[in-house]
Amino acid sequence: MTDLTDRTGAPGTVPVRRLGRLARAWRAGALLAGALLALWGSVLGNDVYWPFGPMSQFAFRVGPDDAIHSIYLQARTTDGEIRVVSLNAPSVGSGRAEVEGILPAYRRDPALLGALAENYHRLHPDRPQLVELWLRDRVTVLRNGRDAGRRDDLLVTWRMP
Amino acid sequence: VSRAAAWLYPEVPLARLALLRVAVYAFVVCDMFWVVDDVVPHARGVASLYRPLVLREWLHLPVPNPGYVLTVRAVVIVACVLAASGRAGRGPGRLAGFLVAAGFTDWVSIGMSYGKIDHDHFALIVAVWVLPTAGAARWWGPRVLSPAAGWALVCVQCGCVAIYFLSAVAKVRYGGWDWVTGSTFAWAMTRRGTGLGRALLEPPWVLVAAQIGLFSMELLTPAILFLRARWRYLAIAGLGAFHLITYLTLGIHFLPLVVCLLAFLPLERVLERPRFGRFGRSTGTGLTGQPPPGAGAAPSSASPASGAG
Repeated sequence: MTDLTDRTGAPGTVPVRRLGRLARAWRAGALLAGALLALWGSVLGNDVYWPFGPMSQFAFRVGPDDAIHSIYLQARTTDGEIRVVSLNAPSVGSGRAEVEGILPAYRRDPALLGALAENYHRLHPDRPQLVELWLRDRVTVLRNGRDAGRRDDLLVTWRMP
Repeated sequence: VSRAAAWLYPEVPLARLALLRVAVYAFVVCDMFWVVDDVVPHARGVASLYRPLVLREWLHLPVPNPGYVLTVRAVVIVACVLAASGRAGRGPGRLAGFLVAAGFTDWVSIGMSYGKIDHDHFALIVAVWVLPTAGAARWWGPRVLSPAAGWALVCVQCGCVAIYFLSAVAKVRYGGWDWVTGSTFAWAMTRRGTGLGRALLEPPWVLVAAQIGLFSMELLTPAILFLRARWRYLAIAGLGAFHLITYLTLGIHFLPLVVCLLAFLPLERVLERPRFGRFGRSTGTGLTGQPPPGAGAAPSSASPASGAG
C-alpha cells in the first residue's frame, strides 16, 4: 500500500479541491431538506413514506401484563399431511412480520392466504400443494413481565375452492 | 458562519471517501443477496400481496416481476463495480454512482412493499445518493483534501444518527414515555431471541434496564456529530458493541447501518505504514482534516505522526 502522507512532503502543500458558492448552497439545502423530511416523517408521517417514515421498529410498548403474539402458518397438503409451513419469503413469498403488518387485510379477505398457497406452489412446483391453510397466533401471556402461560388462537382459515 | 461551514464542509482526504465507496458498494451487492433477499421471491409471487410505498406510486415504478428485479440487480452490480473502482472518469463514475443509488433504492423499496417496513437502510440509502456527488476519488496517489467529500461523509453520519435518534422519537410517539418500563424487549426475545437472548428474560428487570439504556443511548447519539476524534471513535465502538449484542441476543445484525458507521472513521489510515504506538498519540485530525492545535498551517497532516517518513 502507498503511504500517502509521505508523498506529499512538507505540510501545507496538500491541494484542496475547493467548493464554489453554488456547490456549497445546494449541499446545505439538500442536507437541510433531508433532515426536515426525516423529522417530518418521524413526527407526522407513517410507514408508507419510506425512506422518510418513522423509525418505528420495536417502538410499540408491551405492558408487563400484556400478551406477546407470534403468528404461524399451518397447512394441509394435497397428500393429506397437516404441518407447519415456514412463514418467510423463500417459503411462501411473505415473511412473518409482513403478514403481521397487514393482518387486518388477511382477516377481511382470507383469499390472501390463498395467495400464500399460490406463492408456495410457484416457489416449490415439485412439492405437494397447500390446499388448506390456518393462520394461527401463539400467544404468550405476561404477568408482571413474566411468561404466565401460552395459548393458541386461530386467526384466519382458507380452503382451496 | 465559518464554524458552521467547517462542520458542513470539512476538508477530508479524498482517499477516505474512495475507501468508504469501496465498503458501501461492496456491501450493496451483498445486501441484495443476503439482507434484502426477499425481492426475487416477492416478485415471483402473487401481486395481490404487493402494498407499494408512496415513493413507488409517485415514480410509477412497476409492480415487481422476476425479469424486472433481476435486471435491476444486474445493473446495480455492474454500476457498483464501476463506482467503487475509482478508475472510472469523473462523468462515468458519477453516472455509475447515481445508477447504484436509483437501482438500489428501487430494490430496497420493493423489499419494503409487502407489509413490513424496516428502518435499518436509511443511512445506506443516504450514502448511495451522496457518495457520487464528490466526483472522482482515489485511494492511491497524491493526497488531496476535499470539502465535497467532507459534506458527503457528514450526510452519511447524519443518516446514521437519524436512525438512532428518530428511533427514540418513534418510541415516544408510539409507545409513550413509559416505553422504557414496558416489556417490548421481552416480546422481542420471546419471539426471536437466541439462547442467550432468552436467558435474559429472567428476571424481567434486566430487560427493562436494557430498554432504559437503549433509549438513553439513542437520545444521546446526535452528540457524536460534534465530538472530537478520539471520543467519536469511542462512541462508534460503543455503537458497534451494541449491534454485536443485538445480533447475539436477537439475531438482528443491522449491518446496513453498521457499514455506514465507517463514515465516522479515518479510513485512509489503513493505507498508512503501520507504526507502533502511533494510534494512541494521534490527534483530532482524523475526522475533520483540520490540523491539531499547534500544528501550524498544516491542513494536510491527517496523520501528523507519519510526516517524518
